[in-house]
Amino acid sequence: MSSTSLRLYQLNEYIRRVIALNFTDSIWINCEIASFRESRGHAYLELIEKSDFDDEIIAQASAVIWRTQLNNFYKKLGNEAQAVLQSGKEVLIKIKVDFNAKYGLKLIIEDIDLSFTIGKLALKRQSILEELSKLNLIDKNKSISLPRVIQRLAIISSPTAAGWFDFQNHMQQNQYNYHFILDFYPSAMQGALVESELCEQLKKISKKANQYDCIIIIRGGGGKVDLSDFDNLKIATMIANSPLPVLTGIGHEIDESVADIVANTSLKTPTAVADFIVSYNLAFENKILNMGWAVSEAVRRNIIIQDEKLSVSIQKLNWLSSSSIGKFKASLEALRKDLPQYILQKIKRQGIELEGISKLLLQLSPEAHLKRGYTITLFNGKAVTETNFPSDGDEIVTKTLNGTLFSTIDKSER
Amino acid sequence: MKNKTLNYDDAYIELQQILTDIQQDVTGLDELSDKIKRAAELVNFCKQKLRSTELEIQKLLEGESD
Repeated sequence: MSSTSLRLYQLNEYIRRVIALNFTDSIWINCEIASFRESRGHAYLELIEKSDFDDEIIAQASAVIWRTQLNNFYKKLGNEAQAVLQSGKEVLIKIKVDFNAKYGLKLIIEDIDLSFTIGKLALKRQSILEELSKLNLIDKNKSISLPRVIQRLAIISSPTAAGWFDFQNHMQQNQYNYHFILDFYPSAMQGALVESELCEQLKKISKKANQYDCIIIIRGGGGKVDLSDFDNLKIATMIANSPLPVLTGIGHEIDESVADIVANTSLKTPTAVADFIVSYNLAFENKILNMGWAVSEAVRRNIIIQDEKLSVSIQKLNWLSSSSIGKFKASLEALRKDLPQYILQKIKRQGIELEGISKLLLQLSPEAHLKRGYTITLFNGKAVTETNFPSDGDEIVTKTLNGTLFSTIDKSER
Repeated sequence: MKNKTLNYDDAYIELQQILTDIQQDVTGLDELSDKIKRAAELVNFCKQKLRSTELEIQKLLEGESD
């Protein structure tokens, strides 16, 4: 037995040959990435498969992506490659089985089927959405209305994210000089730590909810797979239940993450969030300015109306007084016209009266009596009266129409 | 002094009230100048608060009282 023993190298060489012989072609395998790290341009991965029943690892293997291949992936798939090549992601990869006498078994990754991972993620996303909708959480955060002005912000982002710098710049250099409080709460924005860190910060902010107007979750752009970190039930639930409205800018141009869907307001990019807030405040300021303007306008109109009322009154007064003066004048004028006529009439009337009187007077004159046959007897040159009564022998004078008679009294009786 | 406790909501609502009052002609001519003065005050309050750094101080004070 001992004479047939092999040296380790011989054994490994033997295994290598067996494998090389049996795995001449590359094959597609379906597995989950347990870990991923890059070193000197190469990528080293641990691949696993878990049991469908209890998540127990039932298979494990080391894999590598050589530098040239890795660069190809990055070139071809961009951000998506980074997002797929992460622990926790299910992948469909094309591998070549390699066995090296010194390093052992290694799967050399030659290709990645992105659509497989995306499909898997879409399924996961769908089930999360169904769960959220069952819990009535989809529109919960939307039911909180934004305050009239957004000024105090709690921002969750990665301190190294380009999006965070863009956002700060946009907010601090807004053209209207609005002032903002930007409190930063750092969290991983991609990879396995997103869930725990983001939820931790959301919890922290919720405790100080009275200090903020809203919560902002932002990060620079990522790929479709990258976005899947936000297709997360725990994160979505926390956003939905947040006491403050949550605004997201975790941006992908086309797709919406579950976090976006449950957020109060979701925008594509961090700059879009900044623009939204600035114009939101601008709209408020405009409204206030318009109201101020409307007040002064209403006052102006009010004054004009009062002024008009006043001038109408003055006019009325003028008209009234001028018309009464006019009436007075007119009656005066009429009087002036009528007066001579009136006087003449009066004179005429009095003339007639005078004539009557003079006729009466004429009738009453002594001559009128004489004419009618009467005589006038005078004694001592005066009319005969009780005291001027002639006695026997006295001389009296009798005036007649045709002459005067002188007589002596023979006998007088009383 | 009235502005110390004022916030955007209050300012907005008061301004709206002033506007309706004036538009509905409830306000007498004598009150008008007071109202317009107050309206200008409210507008300025909002304009200033939007740009004011006082907010930070206020927040610090609130933070202490927590």
